[in-house]
Amino acid sequence: MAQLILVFEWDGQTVHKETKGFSGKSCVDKTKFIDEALGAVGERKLKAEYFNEEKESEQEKIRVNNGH
Amino acid sequence: MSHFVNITTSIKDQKALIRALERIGFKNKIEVYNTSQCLYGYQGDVRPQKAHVILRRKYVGSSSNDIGFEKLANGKFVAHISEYDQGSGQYAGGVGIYGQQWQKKLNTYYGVEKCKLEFEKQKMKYVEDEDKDGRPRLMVLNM
Repeated sequence: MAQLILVFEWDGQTVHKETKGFSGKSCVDKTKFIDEALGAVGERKLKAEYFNEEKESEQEKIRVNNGH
Repeated sequence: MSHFVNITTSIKDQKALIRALERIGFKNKIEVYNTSQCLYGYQGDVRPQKAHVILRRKYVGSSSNDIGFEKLANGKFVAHISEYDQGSGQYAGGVGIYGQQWQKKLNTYYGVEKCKLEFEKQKMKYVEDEDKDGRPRLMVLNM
């Protein structure tokens, strides 16, 4: 189940956005409205899941190509 | 995919600003105008600043001045708060409670309310609570 968690710092400037359970890069697209609503996006840290899913996606593509 | 993003907030949404002000004690005490209106000092004197969202001095404190939020051409709101009410400048260490701490708190709640408005617009169900460090937290558990 896809989740979005926002934590607001008391500095009045910083919001930490965490997403869980999204497939592929959909979390960026599906939660972009928050970035746009609040203002400029600063530091972006991708979690390990992101790289794992990207790697799996890439491997699958290679297998399809080899099959031809 | 999962990720963390740090977002810098700036006040642009009037409705979220009003909801944030209501959260910090100004419910039913906020004046809202389409065209900016004069702000008044503690003696009833007209101040050079104007604002679209105004907290009149009777609600701000005894001997206080109006507090106003003016919408600029770039869409951002700027706060007009006297040094007396901020407890800054020649009034540093005074009775003013609307200084940086108050403004940070307002900005934090602005962010919360702005996100809630966006969730409501998209008919998303959310939960609001605090994290273990007492920071406001919003969660959408089924996107």
